[in-house]
Amino acid sequence: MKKIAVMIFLFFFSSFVFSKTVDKQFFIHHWITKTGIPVYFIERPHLHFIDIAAVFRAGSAYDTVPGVANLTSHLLLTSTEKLSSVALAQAADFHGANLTQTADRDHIAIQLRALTDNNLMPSVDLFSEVLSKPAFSEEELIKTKNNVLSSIKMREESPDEWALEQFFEAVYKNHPYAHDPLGDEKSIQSIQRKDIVDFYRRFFNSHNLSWVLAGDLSIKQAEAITEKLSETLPAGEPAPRLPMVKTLKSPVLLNFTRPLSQTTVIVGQDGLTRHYPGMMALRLANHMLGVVPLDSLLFRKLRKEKGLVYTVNSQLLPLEYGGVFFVMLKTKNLSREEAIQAVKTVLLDFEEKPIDKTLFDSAKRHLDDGFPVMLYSNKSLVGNLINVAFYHQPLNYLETFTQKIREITPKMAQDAFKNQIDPEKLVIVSLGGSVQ
Amino acid sequence: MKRLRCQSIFFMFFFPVIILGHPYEMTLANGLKVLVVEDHRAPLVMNSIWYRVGADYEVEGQDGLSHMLEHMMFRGTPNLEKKLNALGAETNALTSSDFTVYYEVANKKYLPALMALEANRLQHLQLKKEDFEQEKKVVMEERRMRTDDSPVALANEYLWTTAFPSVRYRKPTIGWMNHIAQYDLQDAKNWYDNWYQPNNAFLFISGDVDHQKVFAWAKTYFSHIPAKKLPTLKSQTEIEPIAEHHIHLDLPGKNRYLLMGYRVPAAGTAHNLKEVYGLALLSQLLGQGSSSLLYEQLLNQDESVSEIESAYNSPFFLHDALFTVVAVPADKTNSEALEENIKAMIARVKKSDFSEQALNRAKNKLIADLTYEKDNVETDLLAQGQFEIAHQPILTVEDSSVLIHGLTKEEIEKLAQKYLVNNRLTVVTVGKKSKGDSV
Repeated sequence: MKKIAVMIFLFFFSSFVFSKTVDKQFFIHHWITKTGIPVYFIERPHLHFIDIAAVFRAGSAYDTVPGVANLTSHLLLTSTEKLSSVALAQAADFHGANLTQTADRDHIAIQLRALTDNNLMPSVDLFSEVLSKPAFSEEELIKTKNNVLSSIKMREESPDEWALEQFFEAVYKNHPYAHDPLGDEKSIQSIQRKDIVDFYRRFFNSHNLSWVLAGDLSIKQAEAITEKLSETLPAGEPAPRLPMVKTLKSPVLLNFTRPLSQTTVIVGQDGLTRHYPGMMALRLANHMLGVVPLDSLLFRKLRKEKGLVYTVNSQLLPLEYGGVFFVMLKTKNLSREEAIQAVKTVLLDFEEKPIDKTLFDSAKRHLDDGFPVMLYSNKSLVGNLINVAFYHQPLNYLETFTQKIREITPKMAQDAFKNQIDPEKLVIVSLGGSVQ
Repeated sequence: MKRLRCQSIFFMFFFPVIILGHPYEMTLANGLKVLVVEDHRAPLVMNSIWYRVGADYEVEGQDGLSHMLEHMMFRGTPNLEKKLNALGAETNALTSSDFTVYYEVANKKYLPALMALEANRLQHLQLKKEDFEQEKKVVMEERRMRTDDSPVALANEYLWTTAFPSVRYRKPTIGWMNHIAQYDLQDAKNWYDNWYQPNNAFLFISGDVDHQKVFAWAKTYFSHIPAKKLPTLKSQTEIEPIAEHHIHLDLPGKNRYLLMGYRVPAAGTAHNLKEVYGLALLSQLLGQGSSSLLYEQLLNQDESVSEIESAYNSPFFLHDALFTVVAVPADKTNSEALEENIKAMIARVKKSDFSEQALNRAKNKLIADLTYEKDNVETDLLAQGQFEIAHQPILTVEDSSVLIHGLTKEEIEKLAQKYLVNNRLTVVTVGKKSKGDSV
């Protein structure tokens, strides 16, 4: 059956409802380091490791050359002033430490996962060096550029990712969000060491950063570690504000042909903002449409009823300056049109027909009782903490989440979706084999 | 940037992780075994039922039938999804060559309800022709998505089917497309009647529970289900490896790949667990992570690959496994030369030409990764059940660390000498041939 991912709630809206029923296991400890960096920490002592993320407002929207943000973050992990790439990799493996990066349009997170036994402090020291003493050697730059070029080629073999980038390009047009965070072949080749150093100096500073931690540390340890990590980071300026995305005025239809046996289809729309008051209700609507396992409206129509797809789902992605809603599916090339029509019907019916109360209740229960399941892993906790830290959500956000979900009515969910999504202005992207 | 893993639901490509404590165990009169691990880190429970049937049990022309039935276990249980969603449960199922498992993760208070649901679909599956035909289309879409449109997945399929000439597990777990098309409802009914019996299953339940209560619920929901005699299968043993295989897939796409797979034992065929852990450590040393021997030499120094990774697929199989090295050659690199360079590194391991520090790093990293894998609820649960599938004792974190730390340089060297040899090797290359390639 479909692999159901543990959802990461990257995009919730703060509600004004005060709740008495809080869930203590999601209590966020918050403080500011001496150098002024906000810290968000959830204690989870059961497994003996810690995740620490340095979250910078330095996503691809701030690229000076397309791909430079992502490339810089990769380069950070290759070597430092003191440690060559071989020495760094050996030291990290010796201590069982994982150093990783994630980059999207809004932010870059450089992360450490470390054992909390006597490997902890040596791992933290490595992390500190990586963040504050990068070498950015010419040799590593060439290698890392080659790696990114290889990732760009690999993306060609991932229809989901490739189609999604076309969708973003169509939706974001001239906004800094429009280009692929990986960059393109030309832009990557053009990047010089100076571009990397400038980008690092501008954005990787203590005034453009939050610390996020989850795992097996005491508060005292977490304080000491974040102080230590903060000491060596230079001061600087926060990233500038960017313009909001301009909403599209008319529908878009794009079709790309490749020698594939299936067509990937994305049906979506722009215009989602983080400040939409109905965000929690919209979240529930989206859950009914394409998230509830084995029984969402899209799953019922396209898989159970028509046998057109193995996977179909919908997502909300409210980025800082304007987000999107989209449905994604794959179907044999011959069924492309039928699948697109079926999606349109499901969206339209959701807006116009009475809400299925049973499904509404089960979607609600799935979000409510399922909440601790979704936040079971350190990994998903960190993802949610990054959301709280980066998008300035209230500190009781995770603790009060289920209470806020319980307050949504079917009408609220339907209205929230109706206000946001106009079935006349959909952006439809397809990528697949020709029908002949 | 790691994107090479030839993972799919069909094989369990991860190494089992260490559990928090030994499980509590009991067996009902009908043969259903119940294993319970008390893990109180969150108020959750993971409920699972494992059937000892998978792709290895299938006959020619019906490959993928176990996986097809897995789909029907959802479709043929009225309102299953509604009941599960009302409990806020995450649910999934997975088919391998040796087993099929169904599992749910939910708030601990719902465990009795989840156990009742599994007891129900063990006895009362409703297989209808219309549903069956519709679900076949879904499985065909699944195959297109996972395999047919992915060059590396397709190459992996050919790697397995070539590496094992005489036994059933050379077939893909999802089945060949033309064989999926020809299943009929009766095939699925027979499969269900033959193998979905309490004496061919076990429950594995872990979470914030009291094992005595779980045992009592198991009796309530499962003890009345009668045992049934299971079909007997001829045992399958692979012929002695005598030849190195080379195949080339000329596929559209910009990327080239090199896949090498050596036939090695797994838990079901190895002399002992130490050999299994030894092979896992050998894989770690050779090609897992950026301080591994292959990565340092070929990616960092020679720059002849843009990605390279070894894997042991999969340690807890009942049959032999593949020790694989998968690489993306750099533009300038020809695949034959790359293959020779990988073999040269393997030859160095056989001659003990690696440092004690490299081995210690590999040990530390392997143990750390086992610790980290517990973070994922599904990985954790699935990995635990595999011990039982392979009829192996369950090792605690201390046991496993001791075992791994106890492995000597000489033992690792011997494993490489014994198993990473040419007559156990299958090589698959993918992509347009570059200058000098003559595969």
